[in-house]
This record gives sequence, structure tokens and C-alpha cells, in this order.
Amino acid sequence: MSVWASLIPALVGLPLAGFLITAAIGRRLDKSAHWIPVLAILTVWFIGSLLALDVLTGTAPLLQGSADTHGYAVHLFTWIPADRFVVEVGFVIDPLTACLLIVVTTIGLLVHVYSIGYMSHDPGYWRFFAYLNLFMFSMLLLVLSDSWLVVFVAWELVGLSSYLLIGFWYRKRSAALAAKKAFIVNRVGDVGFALGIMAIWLNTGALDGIHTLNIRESIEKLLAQGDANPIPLFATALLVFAGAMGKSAQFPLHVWLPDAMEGPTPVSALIHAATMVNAGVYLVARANPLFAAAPSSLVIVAGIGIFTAILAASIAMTQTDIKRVLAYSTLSQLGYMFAALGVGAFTAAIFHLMTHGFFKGLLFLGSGSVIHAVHDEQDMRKMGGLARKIPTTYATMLIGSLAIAGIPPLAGFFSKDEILGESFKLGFIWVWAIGFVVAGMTAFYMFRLMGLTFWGDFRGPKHIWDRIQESPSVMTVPLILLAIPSVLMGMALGLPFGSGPIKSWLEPVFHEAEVALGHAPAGFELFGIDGALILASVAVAAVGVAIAWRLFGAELLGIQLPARPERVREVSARLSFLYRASLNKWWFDELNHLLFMVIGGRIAYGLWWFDRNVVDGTVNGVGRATVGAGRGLRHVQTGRVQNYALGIAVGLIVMAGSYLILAGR
Amino acid sequence: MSNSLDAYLVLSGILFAIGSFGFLARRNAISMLMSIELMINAVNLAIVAFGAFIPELGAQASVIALMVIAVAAAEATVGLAIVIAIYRNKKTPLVDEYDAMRQ
Repeated sequence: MSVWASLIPALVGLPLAGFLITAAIGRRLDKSAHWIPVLAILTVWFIGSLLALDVLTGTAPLLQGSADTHGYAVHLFTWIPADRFVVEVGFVIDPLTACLLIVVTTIGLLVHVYSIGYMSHDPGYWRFFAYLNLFMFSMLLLVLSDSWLVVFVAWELVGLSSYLLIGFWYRKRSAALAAKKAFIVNRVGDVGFALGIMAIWLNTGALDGIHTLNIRESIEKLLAQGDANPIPLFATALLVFAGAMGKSAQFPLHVWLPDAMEGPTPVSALIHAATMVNAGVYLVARANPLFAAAPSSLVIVAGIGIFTAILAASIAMTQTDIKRVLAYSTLSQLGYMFAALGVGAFTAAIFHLMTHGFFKGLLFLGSGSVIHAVHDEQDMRKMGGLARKIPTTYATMLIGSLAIAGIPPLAGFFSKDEILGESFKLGFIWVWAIGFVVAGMTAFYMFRLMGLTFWGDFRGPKHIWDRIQESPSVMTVPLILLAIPSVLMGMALGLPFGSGPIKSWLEPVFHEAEVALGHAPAGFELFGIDGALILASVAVAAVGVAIAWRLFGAELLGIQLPARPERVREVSARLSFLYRASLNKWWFDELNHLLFMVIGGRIAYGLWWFDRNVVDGTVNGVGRATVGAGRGLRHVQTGRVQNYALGIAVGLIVMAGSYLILAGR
Repeated sequence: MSNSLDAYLVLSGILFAIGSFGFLARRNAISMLMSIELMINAVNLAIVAFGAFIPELGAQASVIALMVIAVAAAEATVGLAIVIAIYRNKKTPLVDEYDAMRQ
């Protein structure tokens, strides 16, 4: 084991130690409780980045049994030694994990630093940092682990820390309910994932009886067995995807993510935008050969992804809560990633995952800074004109918005364009067409957000306006540090078009699947089809931005457009149905209420009645019959010897008499 | 008739019936013990009668009869001891007032 590989367990161990120490003595540390967790994550960031760069640049040794994948692997211990079923605990850093590692540790570190400022007045300060470290531990375990079972444990742990952090202000009823909702909806997906793991376990042992849950080995075995698998690969892949749907909030399990915004804003940025919700994308990408062996499952992935993208984008267009707009935007972008996975453009999905992690983390932290500035107001209708009061937040938020809208040369442009271009070239025209529309909608809702928040006149109370001030530097510095990759990352990883570093990094991981899907590596034609597609998506983004400017105003680069609320009302009145549908989130909460609370409640009530009257009735009936019989038979026991003797005599006579009668025949 | 087995068996049956009637009908514990003795002796009579009239049984019947007499003596001893013990507690020889085991 090399020196480098021996550092891998520290990536998981340090946040765990940070969590345990802070949980044990954090209350006594009070306002200095952040030191241990932040230093732990700083170290993790340092080690993680070094390892990731080592793996990505190819200076790491080749992974065992692989011809072209560089990486580090470390075996820790045998968890379950049960004859021919053995679960090993080990960590692997391959290029895919390395990409995730960069996103998770960098954004994790910045969010930790930001939280020092954001949570400074909260009485649960130490508890917050303990939970954050617990989350970092779980997330790193999730991306590093090489066994399905350990991934599942980490999967549940991130769900737990998400639950704890959404319900951080548990005295607030809505926060407690949102935490419960997130937990329960996630369970639905987790059942699928658990069944998927069981299917993999069954399949791997079907022929030779040797079960394995090692990710790489099990997938190789499943592919080698082909049609001999007792549970078809198609079903296995879909079960795994069900888990991904829950964690990454894809339709119809998307309802928990917007409500998760009840948690503190750094949590929304870290867990519900940049890292945990990406776990589903990571899972599908990790199992890419499995999905590629059952291409029809990938079509379902693409369909659900792109449907979630347009559904969430349509809702984001009318929401008034600044964090909810961003939450629906996250849903929409995750939909993009799944669409990319579905069409077989795995690299594009991971590329978008990385860029999205940075600019969405930036936008969320920016929105936190805005909320902080206007004294815990989240309703954009009571904001406006903030650009003049909080210039740093404004500038970084503007960069984030431009990045997500897909304006070149910012990060979002490259990754989103890669998704759209790949889906068009791989023959999924419908995915491209819907994604194209979503790109326009994305630009529109982001600049609606900018217009309502930063431009025009302040619409809140006067006394708040006078007290608005920029957040402390412990909060603005992370914003600036996130803005830098939001600008540069696309160019750094995506250029030159079609063969940027991200392609060469991830090529070894996805190569096999792409061959299985029959994707010929097409050349990039800047002056042909690709150029046209880029122009089209930039154009649609520009149209979205322009419409938003016309309706909600703009003050940028000397452009002074006034907001026109009367025009907004007119448009929403004309598209009354669509407007109401979007505002009410297409009534999905109401549908779930009807299905599970009303109808499900009735069924549950009926079952409860059955249980109480029939099941309990049988049990109680047996008891009651016994008691009644005893009470009746008690009268026979008179306690008089003669009665008993009479009984004996009569019995004797009956027996002797019947013997005589029978024997006499 | 006096020389036939049936006569002895009929006498034995009558004695047994008187004994059981006494056991069931009398309330006095001492009388009940006496009824038991009557029943035992009825049975003994039947055994000895069988022994006298059926040559194959031979001396075995007499042995059984002696055995029964011994058991009857033991039974009477134990029974009387119990009755006296109860009598000391209850101050009555009447069995229908011995109801401590009913509860």
C-alpha cells in the first residue's frame, strides 16, 4: 500500500472524528465549536484534492485488473465473513470518484466556512457543525466505498444527516414536517435500492454460489452471465435507479426537495444542491455497465430525467420564495443529468454534476446572504434593488445566474451544451427538444429571480431597507471562491470542445458502456452540427434572459429596464391555467395528499377496523370462551366427597355396562 | 344353591351395593369409612369364592385376599387418622362441611 493510498481512510475518519468530538464536547465549546469540524474538513479537502488530482492526471498507479483506469484502492477489513459470502470494506478512488471528491470536499469546506458567519447567532451552533461533519463523513463514505452494502449504509447515513439538518430548527413545525417528508419519500426510493442490491446478490451467486457485493466484481459477473441471471439486468438496473430517483428527487419522488428548503441555507447549498442530491447521478454513473447492458432501462432514465427537468423548470418560473426557485432549479438540473445518463452521455452528466455543484452552491449561499441581509425574509416580492446595498453578493449571484442560464463562456454553458449536443447526436431528438425548451426556461426564471431581488425598487418595509448591509467576509469570501470555478471550470474542463480534460479523465470509466451502447466517438464539428446546436442553445438562453428583463427589469452594463408588473399580471391572466398549475406545483402535493392521506388513510382505517374486530376479535374470543367455560364448569366442583364418589360410581357403572353390552354381542 | 358360585357372587354384589350406598348417602365420615370396609370385604368375598370354585386359581386367590385385607387395614388406619385430623380442626364429622378445597 502506497503512502497515498494509506491516506484514504483519513478522508472518512477525520469528519467522523470531528462529528464525534463535537457531539461530545461541542456544547461546552459554545461559539468556538466550529474549529474542530472546519479544520477536519480543511484537511480532508487538502488530502482529497491531492488524491483526486493524482488520479485524474494519471500519476496514480493502474487499478488492479484494469488496463487504463488509474486510481488508488485500499482494503480495510472483512466485514462479513460468511463462508462463500464475504463483504469486504475498502475504498477506491477512480476518476469518477475523484470528480465527486473534488466537488464534495471543496463545496463542503466553503460551506463550513460560510456557516461560521451564517449560523453565528444560532443557539444550536455546535449541533449544526456536528451534523455537517456527520454529513461529510457519510457522503465521502458513499463516494469512496467499493461495496454495494457499504454504499447502502452511507446512502442511509446521508439520508439521516439530511433529515437532521432539514429539521435543524425542529421547534418550527414546518421544518419538522419537511424533515419527516424528506425522510419518508427517500425511504420509498431506498426500498428500490435495497431490492436492487438483493437482486445483485442473488444474481452473482446464481451459477457458482459465490455471492459478491463488490461493485466492480458484481457488475462484471452480471454482465458475463448475461441471460443466465435469475433476475433480468433490466429489472436490476431499474431497482437501482429507483434508489437514485429518491435521493436525487426525480419525478415522482421529487416532492421532498423543495420542502427541504426549511433547513438552514448552508444546508440547502451543501446537501440539497451540490452534493447529496448528486448521489443518485453518481450511483447510475457508477453502475453504468449494468445500465448499458439493458438499454431500455436507460430510455426510462432519460424519460424521467427530462420530464423532471421541464416539470421543475415550469414550477420555478412562478415561485416567489427565493430558495424554492433555486430548489426547483436544482430539480430541473438534476433532470438534465439523468437525461444525459439516459442517452448514454455519461461524461456530460458528470461534467454537469461538477459545474452545477459549484454554481448552484454559489447561488444558494448567495441567497442565504440575501436572506441574512433582509432579516430572514425569503419572499422575493418584498425584495428589490438589493444590488446597491450588497454588491459582493449581487456580483457573485449574477455570475451564478449567468452560469446556470448557459451564457458562454461560463461553466453552465459548456456542461449543458454537452448534454444537449450529445442527446441530439445520439439520436434522442425528443430529449434534445425538451432540454432545449428547458434551457430557455432556466434563463428566464434565473433572471426573474435577479430582477425581483436585486434590481428595481425595494418593496419591503422602510426600516429594513435602512439596516441592510453586506454579510461579513467569512460569508462573502466563500461566495467569491465559488464564483471563480463557476466562471472558469467550463473552460478548463470543456475546452477544446469534444475532447476536453473531463473527457480524457472519465473515458476509462465509461468507455466500456459506450462501446456496449454502440456509441461511435463522433468528431466535433464546430462549423457543422455542433456549432449549430451551440448557437441554438445560446440563442434560446438569450431569449429567456430577454423575456425576463422585459417583464422584471434589469440594471446591467448601462441597460436600465424598468420592471413591468402590470405586464406580468396580464400574461399570467392570459395563461391562467398554466400560471395556476405552475404556482401550485402542478398540484403534486395535493395529489399525494389525496392518494396517500385520503385514499390511503381510508384503506388504513379499514385495515385497522379489520385488525381490531377480526384479528383481535378472534384472539379475545378464544380467551373469553375459556374464561366462560371455566366459570360454568366451576359449579361441578362442589367440594363434597360424595358428589365425586357418585361421579366415580356412575362412571364405573357406565363403563362396565357398556363393556357387558359390547362383549355380549 | 348354597353350594354354587352364583350365591356367593350375589351376596358379594349385595354387600358391595350396600357399601356404595352407605358411602354415597351417609354424611358422617366414620360411617363412610365403614362403608368402604364393607365394599372391600364384598370384593374379598368374591375373590375367595372364585378361589374355592375354580380349581385352576388354587392358592393364588387366598393370597390376593390376604393382600386386600392388608391394604384395607392400612387404608382404614390412614383414613381414620385423616378424619381425626380434620375433626380436630373442623369440630364436625360431617363431610359436607369439609369444603376448604373448593376455593
